Amino acid sequence: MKYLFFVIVSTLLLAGCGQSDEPAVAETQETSDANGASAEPSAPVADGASGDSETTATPGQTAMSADSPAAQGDTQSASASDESAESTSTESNGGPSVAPAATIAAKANKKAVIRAEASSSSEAVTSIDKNSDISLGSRNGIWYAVQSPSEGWIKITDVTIPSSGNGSSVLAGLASGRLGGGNSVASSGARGLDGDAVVTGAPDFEAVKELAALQDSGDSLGADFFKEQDEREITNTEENAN
Amino acid sequence: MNSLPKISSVGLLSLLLAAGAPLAFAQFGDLTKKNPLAKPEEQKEEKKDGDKSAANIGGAIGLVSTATSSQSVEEEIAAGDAVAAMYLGASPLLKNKKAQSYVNAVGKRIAGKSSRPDLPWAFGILDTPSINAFAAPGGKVLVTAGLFDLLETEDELAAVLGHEIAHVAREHHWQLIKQQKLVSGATDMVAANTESDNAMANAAFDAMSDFFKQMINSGIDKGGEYEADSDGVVLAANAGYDSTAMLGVLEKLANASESGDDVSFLFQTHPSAEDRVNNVVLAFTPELENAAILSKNSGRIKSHQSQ
Repeated sequence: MKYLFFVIVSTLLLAGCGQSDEPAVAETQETSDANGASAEPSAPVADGASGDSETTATPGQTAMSADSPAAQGDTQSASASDESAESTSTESNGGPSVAPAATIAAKANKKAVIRAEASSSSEAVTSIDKNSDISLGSRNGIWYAVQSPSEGWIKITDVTIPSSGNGSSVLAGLASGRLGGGNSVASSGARGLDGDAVVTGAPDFEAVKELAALQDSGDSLGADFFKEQDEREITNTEENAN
Repeated sequence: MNSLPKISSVGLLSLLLAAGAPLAFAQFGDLTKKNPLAKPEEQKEEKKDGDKSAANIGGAIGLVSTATSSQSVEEEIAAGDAVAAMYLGASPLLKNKKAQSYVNAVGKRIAGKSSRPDLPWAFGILDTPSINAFAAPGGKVLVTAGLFDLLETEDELAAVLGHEIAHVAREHHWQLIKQQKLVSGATDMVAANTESDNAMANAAFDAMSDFFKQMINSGIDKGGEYEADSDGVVLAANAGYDSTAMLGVLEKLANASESGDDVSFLFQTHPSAEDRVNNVVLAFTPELENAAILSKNSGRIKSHQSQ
């Protein structure tokens, strides 16, 4: 009986200690940012995953997100790289759900290599056959981040983006950066421009003269406007193909 | 507003005859295959070599253009002015000198890398939130305010302008006009610059405008668009811009479409963003891959956009 009492008391005490063991797993993989004060800022916050992402872009992380100040070194940890993707995350009650990186389905257009990093000199993670299904998360220069069949990077020249066939855009899932609409430099009363408007409107030759008068307007920006912008002498693809 | 000068009666007759000709608009396979990157002297060599340089980018193999005499260029510019007048009749130029000058500076730099640097290139931003860009023969290029503001970097602006400049350098639209035997109308417009008979001028324009309307609403063939994409990437890269910027533009267009922004006119006359991306990457040689670097001035576009 004494033993039974001891067990009950100790169980109650443990419960009152605030889930000492149970949440440990959750805290290592997710932020408790919402709890602010309860986080231990003095501890080495950055875990392994986020530490790696400081030096090299990881799949699903665009160049922009790599530079994003949004993470601010707090306990965003592993999910920081997903911030530039559609942030539909709805954090609630200390159980933050991390929005999965938006991905699009594509195919390898040739036998290709998925690499660990976005570099031709990076180690190969795996190779895939032509027409293999791949899932892409983002683009960084000439590299797409691959989510599957293996995480890594694949060259843009090795990938074909399929059309959805239903009028929607497959590519939209990959886009990053701000969207248009709502903040245009166009005047507030400016009209939309469609084929009908062009066809039915009266031609404005006076405006053509205004346009022609802009020909040298860029010179007003000064001779140094393109200073430090190196030119190149790349030949076009026609010549390369011959 | 419409103050076209006098056009000769002979020219008017030919215009009217041309207007009566069938305006079948599907057979654009014979687009001239001028190399928009070749220097003018190199183009003379191209002519000697005949079809050797007429590679089949976009699947359109055709005649190599005949000489672009000064008279021919004048006609091309006059026809382009008429096309530009139609766009400008639907949407005025944006009243923002700073932004207009900026676009002209970037455009002129890229046009300078083309095979036709001496055209009277002029770039304008149209005051409309719709997302689109247009090229008119002879070097008039228009970008809508909606597209200008969608762009994130000067490199992306360069990609857009490079595409339009490639259309002009390849004479995509001008060749169509010539195929429809409307050159005489352009000739008359050149002559009309020194005379004044608005009634006749308007009639002549009306005769030509039927085809222009069709061209504006149908666009050129897909091959021409792919060609302009590929050439535009090289032109922009040679002007010092990021070779992958066009991919960023296409991603934004795709996203804008999904977001309900006004891109319907653009996609009415262009292939899907996916198809264009798949085509653009085919152009990527090692040289272009090495040019996948943002320009040092990439961010300054923001000071010309709305905040």
